[in-house]
Amino acid sequence: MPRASKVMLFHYMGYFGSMVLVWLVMISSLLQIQLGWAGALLKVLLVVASILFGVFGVLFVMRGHGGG
Amino acid sequence: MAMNRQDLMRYDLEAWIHTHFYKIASLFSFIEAASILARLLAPSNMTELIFRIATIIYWALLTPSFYEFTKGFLMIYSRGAVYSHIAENIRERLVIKYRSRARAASILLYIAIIIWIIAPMAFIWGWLYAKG
Repeated sequence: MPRASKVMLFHYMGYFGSMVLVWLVMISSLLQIQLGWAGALLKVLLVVASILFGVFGVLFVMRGHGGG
Repeated sequence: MAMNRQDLMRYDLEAWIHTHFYKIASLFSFIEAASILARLLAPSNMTELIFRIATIIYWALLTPSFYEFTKGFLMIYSRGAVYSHIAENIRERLVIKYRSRARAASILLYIAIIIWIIAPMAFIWGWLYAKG
């Protein structure tokens, strides 16, 4: 099992990252044409953040290996 | 465990809502990731629709977390003068001591909520009117 501190680090990176990136992706939809590759990059980062949040949340945090 | 949850609901409804939305968001994050990947790898009207709806749901699920985090940070900023669960007489002393921070924290929460709510409005606006 990974160390609890690493689990929480990845989990919170995903958690906070998701919050910030969901906001940015939503706002960026107004600037879709001007953003180009940056818009796609934001979406890819949101995918990474969502997976970190989900994987570490479901596997470790919700099963009682840390806070929530 | 179930008893603890009931206690939390009675003691602090906001925290109870935050806990449950957090758990659902944690599971829903896989759907959000899949919807974005589908949108990027196979762009079509259907994947666009699924991505938009999933993102709005994900935003809604993260909303209680955003609210609680913002309150938490503002509680720290105000040294516990606002948004803290402490005895009223202690709070009154803190408010007197950190008056300007307490006032700023009260206002900043509303500003943060407005900024948070602007996102889905922009998203829906962009969906309807700014499509390239």
